[in-house]
Amino acid sequence: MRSVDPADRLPDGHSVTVTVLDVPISIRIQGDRAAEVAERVPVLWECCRADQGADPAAAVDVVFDTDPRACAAANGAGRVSRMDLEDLLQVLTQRVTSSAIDAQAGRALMLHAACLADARTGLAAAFVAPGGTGKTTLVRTLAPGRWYVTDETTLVLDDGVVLPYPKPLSIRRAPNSLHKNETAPSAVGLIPPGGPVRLAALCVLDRDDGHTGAPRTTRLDTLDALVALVPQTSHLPEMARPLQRLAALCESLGGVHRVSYRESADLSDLVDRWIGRMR
Amino acid sequence: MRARALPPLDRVDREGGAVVLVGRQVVRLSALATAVLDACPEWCAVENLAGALVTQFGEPPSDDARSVTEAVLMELRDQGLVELG
Repeated sequence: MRSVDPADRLPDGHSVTVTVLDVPISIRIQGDRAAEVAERVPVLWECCRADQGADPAAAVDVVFDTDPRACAAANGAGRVSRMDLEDLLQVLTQRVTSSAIDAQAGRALMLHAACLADARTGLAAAFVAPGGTGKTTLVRTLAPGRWYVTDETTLVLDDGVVLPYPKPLSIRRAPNSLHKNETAPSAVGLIPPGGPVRLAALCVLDRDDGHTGAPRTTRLDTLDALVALVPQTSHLPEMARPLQRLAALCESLGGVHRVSYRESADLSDLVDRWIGRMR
Repeated sequence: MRARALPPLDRVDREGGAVVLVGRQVVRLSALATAVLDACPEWCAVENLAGALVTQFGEPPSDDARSVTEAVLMELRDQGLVELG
């Protein structure tokens, strides 16, 4: 993991440090509109604030400026820059996420999955699905009253403990739009974990607009589960014994569920069954 | 033709079948393909592999054992799991 040299901090800019998947990441902001970004970031990343004095292990550089040439130059240099603030914040979330995932490469199992947990027991259910197929909607629907663990990346240690990533939610500006607005978890009634989180159920989501009736669940055997899960992992080949560890996790949970459904709300009973009913 | 298995990054076996990781690709192997891989840790002639499969699974219902073995080997080669010589 790369340590950030304090001397490398950008001059005359703003800096906000967040902790993502246990990785302190410095968001360094420059440009004549940097203050607008610096004002929004702590609000959006309210559940990922770094401890005072945390030493950043990675950095994401941001430029927000009225001059389009500054924006173009920043993008060319690999920094995050857009002329529109909401666009910039969306890309920033993606960049922060990928920085944390890269920093954890080879250390732990990372699934492209939403996750929520029971607030009394910390038992969690993770829902694996590709991007744009309903994870954020599921969290917005089913996480109120529970702990919001993540809507993006579920990191599971070998003992089943989950490292929370309660990031800002990326909510589509319009149905089927690629553009999303970053939203603070508390703005949609979500609270981050208040204690340890342990995975109790793992589910592959199969959202289908043509599905009718109650959700249809099947239990995948270990080999089918591996085939379904591996494409939704990050940096898996960089782990030691990656398939064996993933198989051990699946079997420790009693198998992996596949659920075909249409509306997230229809999964409520399943979540109650897997991690406990809300009080 | 002869064949030799190439080691995958990782492998999990359950009930005769297997899943392997080759680079970033996950591959589900049938019991037949798994048996072929296990029978050629070193260079092995296709005739010997076909004989091993007949011993384990019996004669194929259609086609001959050598043709079936060759077809499996071609697929395994395309998946990066064997080299052919």
